[in-house]
Amino acid sequence: MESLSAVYEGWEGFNRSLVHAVVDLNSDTLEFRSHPEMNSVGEVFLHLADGRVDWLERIDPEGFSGLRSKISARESSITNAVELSSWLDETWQATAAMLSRWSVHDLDATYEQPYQGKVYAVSRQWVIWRIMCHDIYHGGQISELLAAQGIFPTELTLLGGHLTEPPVIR
Amino acid sequence: MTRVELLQEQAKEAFQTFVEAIEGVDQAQSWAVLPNLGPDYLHSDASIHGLVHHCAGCKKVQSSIAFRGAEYRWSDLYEVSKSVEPDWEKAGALLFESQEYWLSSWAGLSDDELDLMVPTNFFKQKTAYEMIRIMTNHDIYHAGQVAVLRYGVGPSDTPPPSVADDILKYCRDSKHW
Repeated sequence: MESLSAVYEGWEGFNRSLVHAVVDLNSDTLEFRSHPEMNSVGEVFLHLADGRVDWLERIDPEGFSGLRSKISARESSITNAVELSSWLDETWQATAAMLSRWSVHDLDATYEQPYQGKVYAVSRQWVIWRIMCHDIYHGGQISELLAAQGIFPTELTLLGGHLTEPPVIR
Repeated sequence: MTRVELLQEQAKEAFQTFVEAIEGVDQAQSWAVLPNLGPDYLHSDASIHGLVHHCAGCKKVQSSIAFRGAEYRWSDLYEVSKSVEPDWEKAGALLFESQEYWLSSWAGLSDDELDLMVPTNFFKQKTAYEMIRIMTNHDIYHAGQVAVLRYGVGPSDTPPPSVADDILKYCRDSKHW
């Protein structure tokens, strides 16, 4: 029975590259946006991490209830680089725990999702795929938003989209 | 649904995300380059035109190496890129053609064959599953970049740096040239 941690191997490395990209950013960099109507760098990071909770709590309510409580208790947006990196890590830990707990046989389980007058049977597979894409898509956005400021976090730019960190051999 | 069928669906969805990201972009916008970034960052010249070529070209060559005995090589891509750039419409056609080539390259695999090692252009072999996952994620990642560029840059009447030149510079020493 194959664990989902094995199926989605490499996602952890992508989270790590996001954390490394954000942790040392200053407030000016985090406030940069490419267009007045687009999210700032910091807002994209926060949206990415909150999105994990928004979607994954639907398939794993128990695993994400603590993080939902933290979002609900939030009095203002997270704009600090260190706090953003911690929040990325926290939401990833819950994601990783879920993946390690489940196997490929758990992917078919569904929940009912009302949407625009219809009720959909949404599978765990659908949700996990969606939120992994969400991470990667916004990771791509962040790479451009940082590059536009002359910042090139290696893992997220030069290695961008290539998610698995090779093993260290010496 | 088999694993291969599921991966085909995901590859199609990822490609659709990329297509939606470039929807409505015209040639002048596709040529625009973010200023002051230096050369060759993010596998591209920081234009939407460059990203489309990058996604199309990588998909074609990587699928050739992994699943088609390297029938299509970097030198072939160089010639094609050189002949079509900087035309935006032709870049789009290249993108769709490469997607068809990619999907058909591994559509006939069995689920068990997904776990077999395949040749790559990287420093080591990967399983077919890993290779497919990488290329699917690749589309999504660069779709995110396009989404930023299309709102971050205005139109340009100057073609971006040559993609073919980049291929020549970085790939001519590859064993898959």
